[in-house]
Amino acid sequence: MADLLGDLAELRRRAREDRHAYSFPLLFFGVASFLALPLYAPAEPPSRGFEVRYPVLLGLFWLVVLLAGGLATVWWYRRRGTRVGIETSTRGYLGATVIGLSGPVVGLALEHLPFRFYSGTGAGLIVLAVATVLWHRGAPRAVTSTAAVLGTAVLQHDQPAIAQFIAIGLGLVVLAALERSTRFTTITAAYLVALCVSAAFTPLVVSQPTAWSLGSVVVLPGSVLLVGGLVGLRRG
Amino acid sequence: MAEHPTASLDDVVHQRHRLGILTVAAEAKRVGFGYLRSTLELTAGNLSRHIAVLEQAGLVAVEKDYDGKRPRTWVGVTPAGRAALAVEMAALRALVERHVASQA
Repeated sequence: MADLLGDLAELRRRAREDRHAYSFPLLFFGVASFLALPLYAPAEPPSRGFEVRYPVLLGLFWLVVLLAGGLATVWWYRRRGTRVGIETSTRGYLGATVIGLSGPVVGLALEHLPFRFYSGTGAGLIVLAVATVLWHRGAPRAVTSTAAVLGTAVLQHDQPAIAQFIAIGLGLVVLAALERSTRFTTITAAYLVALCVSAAFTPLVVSQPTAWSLGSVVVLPGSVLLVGGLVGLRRG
Repeated sequence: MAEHPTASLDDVVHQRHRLGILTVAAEAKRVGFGYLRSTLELTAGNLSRHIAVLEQAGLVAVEKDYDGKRPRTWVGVTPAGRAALAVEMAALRALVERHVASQA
């Protein structure tokens, strides 16, 4: 009986291993992060705040990256599933991509609220935690999605410099849950830690901003994505 | 008195290969026939028979499509199949624990 349980655990482990395809999204978003660096050139004349020279171009770049990256990731998982013979459901990831992209739109409505959150980041994280608990408990999809959209929007609104990385992180958390891979979960956790560190300690407000000082907010999370993608590629 | 764990074992699910099919299928959205055959080291005929039993019991759903001109068969676990697998695994674990406790 114990042998049977051991054999089944081995089958489960093998099936999970064969489903792994996380290196692609990590590499895609990692490379995109570094490609975005030139767009973080400071505004002319330089100001002390987080003001880039081409804000529309930067916004458009990340919109295209998030959209193309989300769709390419779904395509990649489906293609790999067909090739290997074991498919991962990508519906949750597609949902996370839509939530990540809808955050800035909902954020516009947040501007018109009659009150301000004491800590938008704290409120956003709490709502996202509630959404995660609801998801785990199998709450109606409309309730979970609404909580996830609200939490993401509040978080992105409070942390505009890393809004795109919050969207990427949301997708990675969902993918890690779908893949049930310890390595991918560890990489995703490292990415989220890097994101928090990057948001907390990057000197966005300096007297003489440069593309590096403004763009440094993308270097740490971008590096984790790249290294994680390379690790995934090496391990197959 | 608590029911003996063997009472929870389902004959359809309990067969070793069918348990293997359900275990692998429960890990994915759907699994290819070829993948199951190579992973479980079964002949095509044998695997087909087990899948037919599971399908008849409503525990798996079978889909067919084409990869170019080559027909492909996919197996996906149904909610009933997932629930049956969970019950079976709990019963197996309870039996092992009972056995270990009786040896102690």
